[in-house]
Amino acid sequence: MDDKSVEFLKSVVGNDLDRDLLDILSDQKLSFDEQVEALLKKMEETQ
Amino acid sequence: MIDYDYSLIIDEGDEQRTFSPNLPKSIKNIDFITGRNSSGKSTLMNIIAAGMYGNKVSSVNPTLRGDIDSLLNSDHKKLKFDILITNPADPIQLKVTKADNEKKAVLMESTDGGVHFSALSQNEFERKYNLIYDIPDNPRTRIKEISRQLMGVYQAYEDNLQDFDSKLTKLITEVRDASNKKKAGELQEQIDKLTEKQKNNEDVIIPRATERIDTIAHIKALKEFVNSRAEVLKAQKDFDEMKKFVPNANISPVKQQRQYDNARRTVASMALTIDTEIESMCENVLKVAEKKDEPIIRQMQALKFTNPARRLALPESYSAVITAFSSLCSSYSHSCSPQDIQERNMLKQLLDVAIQYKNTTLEMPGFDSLDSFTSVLDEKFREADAKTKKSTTAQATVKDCMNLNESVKDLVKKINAIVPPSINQSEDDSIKQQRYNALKKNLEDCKSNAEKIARSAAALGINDATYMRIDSEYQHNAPELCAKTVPGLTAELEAQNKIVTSAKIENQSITGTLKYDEETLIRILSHKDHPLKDRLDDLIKMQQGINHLRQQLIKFEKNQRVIDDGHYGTLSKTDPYVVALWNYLGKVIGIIKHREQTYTVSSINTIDNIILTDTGKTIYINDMGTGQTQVTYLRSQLTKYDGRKIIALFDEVATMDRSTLNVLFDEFMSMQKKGKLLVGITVQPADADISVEEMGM
Repeated sequence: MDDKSVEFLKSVVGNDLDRDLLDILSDQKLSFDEQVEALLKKMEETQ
Repeated sequence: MIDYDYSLIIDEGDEQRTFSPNLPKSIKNIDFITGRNSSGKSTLMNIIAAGMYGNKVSSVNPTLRGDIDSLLNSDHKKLKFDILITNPADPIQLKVTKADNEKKAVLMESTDGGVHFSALSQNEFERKYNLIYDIPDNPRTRIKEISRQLMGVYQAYEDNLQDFDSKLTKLITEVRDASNKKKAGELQEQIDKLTEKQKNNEDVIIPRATERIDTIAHIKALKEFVNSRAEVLKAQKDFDEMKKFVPNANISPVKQQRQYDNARRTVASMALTIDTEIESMCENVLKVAEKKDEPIIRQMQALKFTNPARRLALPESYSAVITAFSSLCSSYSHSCSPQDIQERNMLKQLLDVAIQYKNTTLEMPGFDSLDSFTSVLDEKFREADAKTKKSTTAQATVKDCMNLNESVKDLVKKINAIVPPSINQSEDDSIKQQRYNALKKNLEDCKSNAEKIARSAAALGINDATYMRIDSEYQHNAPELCAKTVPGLTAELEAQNKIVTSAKIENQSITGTLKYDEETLIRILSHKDHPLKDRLDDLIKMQQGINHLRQQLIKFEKNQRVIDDGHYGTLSKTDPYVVALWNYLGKVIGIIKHREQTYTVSSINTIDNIILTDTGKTIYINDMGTGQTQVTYLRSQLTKYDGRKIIALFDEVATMDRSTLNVLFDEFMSMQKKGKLLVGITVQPADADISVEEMGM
């Protein structure tokens, strides 16, 4: 996924978690554990 | 740099055409190639794409994918090539080799400036490189392609979400299990129950059923053994019965006649002997018989077997006559006392002694002479003999009567066994013969079956010597089974076998379940404190978020489909998705040249074909030159950078003049400097010899 497509989707989804998911899932370099860790961190920051 | 060489031989039937590079074999990474049609302008691009899975990857224009496939797989084309691409911006190198006898090229990558190379699979290549190979025909419509490409983005996200969701579900289960004491307890309880069930199957159900199977098998074999013998006996009896009616089956008529004649002669001879005996007995009895008893003796005397035997018949009432005669003799046998007989015998002995001394001078006291003594003795004997004669004759005759009875019985048996030879077989005889054959066959079958059953039974220790004892034991130990018939036992045997099979299958299943449960339990017990135990709620929220995002992506796909069809459908022009899409397209295109002016694009509306610039200018796509729209589209392909190095090959960019192309070349060079572009080749037809203009680093 290219950056512009990701940004476009982030602009049309409903909430922060959706946006975080889009960000994390578009980063193909991250392993599953790293994706979960990053999402949990973002969720923590949002709370 | 791109260092390359190739040889392409095309077999055209009447001739073979060979193509080789007509450009320098070492050129820069960014090139603008021009030349006449069929001058080989596109060959280099085709070969680069062929070496990089260009016939398979989706980012290659479908028409070109077909061309590349044809280049690699056509029987009439022989292609071999070597390419080495080095990147001036970093140590990345790609090397491709294809032999002319191979259908596939071998792609290798070096990340250390060419010191080491390793093979690059299609998946690995697509993960690291973005091969764009396109012919930007019909440029105005191609701008809309950018919008359509979003469908691929949605699909990619959905795939990622599904994979992520599946892994997340497993993680949540692990976290839950790890902190779930109750679950551990439940698992342990289930393991205990299953273990007990398995043990019960192993120690009780299976052995009990197996033992019962053994008992049933024995009883069944026993019954079959006894039944088969009874069947043989019955078949033998039926057959023997039938033999009386068809005794001469399979015997020739001549032999039948001879046997018949012999049998008749035998019975005639026997009858003559019997008649002689009767005559003799009657004469003896008549001598001692009383007058009143003579009719019985005369009846006996009149009994003749000789003639009736010739006719293969028997005298009427012969049995009653013999019985009456025998009874009469029996009554005579008690006409004197045993003492009388003893006295008579003694007198006889004395008389015999006296006769021996006749003509001698022996003197007998009280008598004149031995002769006078002998005369007196003879008189006394005659008196005593007369007194016992009736009884002794009768006793001897009673014995003779018993022998006579045996002889008559033998005669009767022989007469009954004689059947005349069947010379002309009647219809009735034919039916009898068929019945005879059927019974004979049945007897043979029964015997064969009985032998077979006996062999099986012998394996279980059942034979003629043991079956009664074994039967008696089972009658005592398993009377309910002994009461069943063979089909009933067979059904019971099947039922017990089913019990064993089911128990074994169940145990196998239990083994699998136990393995899983025990592993789960070990996992639960060994991860008492999962690192994410306190974040379980967040993980669940994350999963809910995934589902929410999926739903939205489905909705976006639906919207996109409507827009790609060129209308708004139920969407309003101010729908957030529509507005965001136009802005996204504006960002992808970035800048455009229109009527010699360069503008920064704010949004592109592909339904109304309107481009809005940041200065508030409205440009209608249909008013734009095709060259401009073409470069706009190609540039957009480059600007959607996703982290992968781009290998951009643009063929037949016919509608762009040099100033328009410079926009594209500038983008190439800018990306090369940033390390985003590995190759950028553009080909344009021209009415001149083939040439290459090299650019960039």
